[in-house]
Amino acid sequence: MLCIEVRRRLSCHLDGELSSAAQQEIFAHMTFCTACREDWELLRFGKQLCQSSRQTINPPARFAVSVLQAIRTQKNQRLMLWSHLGAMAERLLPAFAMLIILCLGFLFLTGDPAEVHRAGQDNRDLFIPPEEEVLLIARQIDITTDHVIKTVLEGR
Amino acid sequence: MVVSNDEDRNMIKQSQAGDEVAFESLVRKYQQVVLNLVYHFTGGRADMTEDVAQKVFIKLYLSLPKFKVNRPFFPWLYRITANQCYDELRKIKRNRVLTFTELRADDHAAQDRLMNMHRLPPENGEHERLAQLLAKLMDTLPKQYRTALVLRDIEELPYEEIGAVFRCSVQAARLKVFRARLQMRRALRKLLKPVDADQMAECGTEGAGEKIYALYRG
Ligand SMILES: [Zn+2]
Repeated sequence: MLCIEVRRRLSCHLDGELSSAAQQEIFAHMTFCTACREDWELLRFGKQLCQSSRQTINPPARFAVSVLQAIRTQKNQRLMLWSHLGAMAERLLPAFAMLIILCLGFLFLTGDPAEVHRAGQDNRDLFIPPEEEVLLIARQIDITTDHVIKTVLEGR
Repeated sequence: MVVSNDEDRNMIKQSQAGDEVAFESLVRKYQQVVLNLVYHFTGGRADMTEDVAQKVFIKLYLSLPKFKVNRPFFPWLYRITANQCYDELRKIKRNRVLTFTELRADDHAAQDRLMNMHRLPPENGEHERLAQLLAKLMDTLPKQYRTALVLRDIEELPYEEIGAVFRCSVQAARLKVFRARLQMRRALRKLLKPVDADQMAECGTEGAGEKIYALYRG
């Protein structure tokens, strides 16, 4: 048997699920292969550690009663929480109503949002391209377009 | 292993309908199982066993409405128990880290409290030392491998039942236990200094754990 085959079967061997022939083969292999033997001993030690830690914990006499008490306490706490939340909601109701009225009032005062949008579009129409602006200023201070072109654009 | 039967189903149905007496009977039937499981899942932390077991039953009570009575009860109970235990262990770890980082150098009282929380009993027998070694090894394993080892090598459940707890096939359960054992072996090898396999083999089966551990410790 090869090492890889032995190692694959060690877990089954630990569970005592191998046939006696397979066990014999594994033992025969481990008499000369120290690596597999060490693997086996460590696996066995791990299992023994688990087994040695096994404990039976006896339930305290009033365990079930104390569980039910804890459940009742939790239930009461939940009920209390809900009633607190209810009371808080009742107290906050006028403030909440005021807030809604204020919001509606604000929307009413600022007007129709569609109108605001249209106004935005109008503003965009008011934008003047820079070259036209130069000509406008030139006209205001009575300079001809040719003059502007000559002095500003051709650098005279 | 406690097998779910008609008696369980009746108790669960009645508990779902709000019958506290029925739920108390359910607690009485499974309290021993849950206490043992909690003790083993938490790595033998006896001081927290009862508290955590109580939380398990509270969680069980709160999730009963979701439970389908025609399904087996014990795998569900085992899952709730395992999850609760890992939640508690995580809380302990987080609290420990927080306490250490938040601790001021001049707060001697807090330092003493912290040290006492994790102090081992003054006179540890070999059994306690082995239990501590196991707890240390278990802490290095991922949750599902830890669960697999507790169910197979401590609780000694058959693979069919381990599969039911993990909601997987028997073959997959075998594979999980196999991998868990390999991880445990790797952790053991890392933790203990190497000992000659011949010496280990000489330890035989009776009390071999203690003997091998003694060899490792030199
Ligand atoms: Zn080999």
